[in-house]
Amino acid sequence: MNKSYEEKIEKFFTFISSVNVLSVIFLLIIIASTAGTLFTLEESSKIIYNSFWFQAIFLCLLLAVIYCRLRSLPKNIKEFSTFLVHLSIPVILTGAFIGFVWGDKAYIQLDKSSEVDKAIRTNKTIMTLPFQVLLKDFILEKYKGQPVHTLLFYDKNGTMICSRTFYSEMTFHSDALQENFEILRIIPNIEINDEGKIVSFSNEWNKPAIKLQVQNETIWVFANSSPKKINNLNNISVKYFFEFENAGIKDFKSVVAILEDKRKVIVKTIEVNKPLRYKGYSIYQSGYDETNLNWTVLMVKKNPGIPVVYIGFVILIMGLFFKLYLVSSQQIESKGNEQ
Amino acid sequence: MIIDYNIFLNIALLLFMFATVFFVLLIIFKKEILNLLATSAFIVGLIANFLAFIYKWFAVDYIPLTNTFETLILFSLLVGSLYIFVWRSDPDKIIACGCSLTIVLLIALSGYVDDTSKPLMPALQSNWLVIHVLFCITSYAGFAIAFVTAILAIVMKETESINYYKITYQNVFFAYVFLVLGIITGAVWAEKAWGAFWSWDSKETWAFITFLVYSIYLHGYKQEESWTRKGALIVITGFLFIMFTYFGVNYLLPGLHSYA
Repeated sequence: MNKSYEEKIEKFFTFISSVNVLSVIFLLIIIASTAGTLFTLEESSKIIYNSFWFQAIFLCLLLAVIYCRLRSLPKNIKEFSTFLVHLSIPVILTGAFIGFVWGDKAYIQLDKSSEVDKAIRTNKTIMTLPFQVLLKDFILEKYKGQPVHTLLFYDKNGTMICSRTFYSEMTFHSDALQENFEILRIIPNIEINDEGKIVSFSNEWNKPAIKLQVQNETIWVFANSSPKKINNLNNISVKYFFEFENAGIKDFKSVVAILEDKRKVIVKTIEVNKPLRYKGYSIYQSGYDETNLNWTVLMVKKNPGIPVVYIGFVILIMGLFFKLYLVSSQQIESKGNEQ
Repeated sequence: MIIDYNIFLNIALLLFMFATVFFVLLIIFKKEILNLLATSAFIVGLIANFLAFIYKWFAVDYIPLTNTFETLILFSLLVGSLYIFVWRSDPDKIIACGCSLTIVLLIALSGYVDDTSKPLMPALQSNWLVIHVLFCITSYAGFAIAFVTAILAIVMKETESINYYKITYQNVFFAYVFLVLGIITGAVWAEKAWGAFWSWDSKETWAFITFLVYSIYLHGYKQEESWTRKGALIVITGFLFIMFTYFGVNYLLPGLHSYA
């Protein structure tokens, strides 16, 4: 290699590792990332984040950091902290690169009691797994909202005439029945003897009942039991339906077994924040079918870059804390000097 | 009368308003009694802010860090708490006044956002929530103090501004460490919950953008003599980016953090 060529390379690296150029690289990433947030994730991935030019900017950053560090290796503790921070950048980017090149992602849609060893990627190709996944159960938990009460009125043929939903004791008029009704009491948990007297009651919503008044007749109607006849209204019966208002999804989880040669290896409940990790694969709870709760959607991921990224994170944290300690001890030192 | 978090929050707002006024009067009249009144109002205000956070915690049954209202209570609390550390090394009345005013604005802002707490959605049922949000809001609080001192550094005379530049750098560095911790813990949590430690989601992208803005400042501060004023302007810009990451992204951009 001739001398002028070496000088040119030296000049190039000195140039890209200067603070001004580093600031320009940062600014380019800032502008591109800001633009990326204006589009949908799919669009911005295509035109920005996965584009050649955006990755080239990161490559420039990587080269600048590596050259900067090779040019001046740490000579003391203070410089060592900066060295660690800078070292973490190529480590994290290497981990991200490994994941980008060798990582894989696919989805499994699984019916209860069925097993698969294949997952489907978003581009419709098949990912073959070195094990089988069996869905043993799918559980959907909802937050309980406030109690909702519904009275359903039926004619003699069992055909529903009208209904009324309410949250507390009230009086209402039914146009269909041309009658006034009064809800005298709602009791969350009650037991009544054959004579219609209350034997026991509590405030836990186990076996709710309502006391209904129609004309001069008072009747007790129990939740979710068969329709009860109203004597004062010919051929009309009433049914009380009780439920809690849906206050949102609490959790959705799949009880999954991993099989190898039809033999169970692991049984685990996969839920959001609790993936199953096996043989380098991670299986995440991704979704479910609202209309058929026997189905679950799982995401299978393979990312060999994650350990490298995490090593980078640890190096970065160590470097920054080291530097923070030095900055705060400098502060104490300068304060001592002033005194 | 039922005592709830809003009562403590209103008391805190009132006390920080008094503290701001007393600090302004102290800067003008330099009377020791004003110093005592301002400091007392600030400290009692901070205790009221802390109680508001605790009462909200009791009211919702989980650590209240899941939406803008809840994090605003923590934000103001952390600005006040971190300022006490700054005050221990440099009891500057103008910084105290600026921080007190910042807290007033943060608490007042909480009155304009929805304070209803919803049951935790599955993704938020994780210990990472507390760690991640705590780191992020601590960094925001540090950047808020740096924002105040950066403004003072620019508006003050050159001889007085040197100290403000130094305090700005120390606060930015402290907040920067916590911002990085916030981004890292967010990445680790995202990998567990969604299977990807980085998704270029609007919130994480904007956190990354603010990280880069402050990275420019820190690199320049260490290496260039003439950086100080330029640096202070970057710190001010950086805080506007923080505010956009905190509020703007929630309301203007779609993403995985839409509940925040």
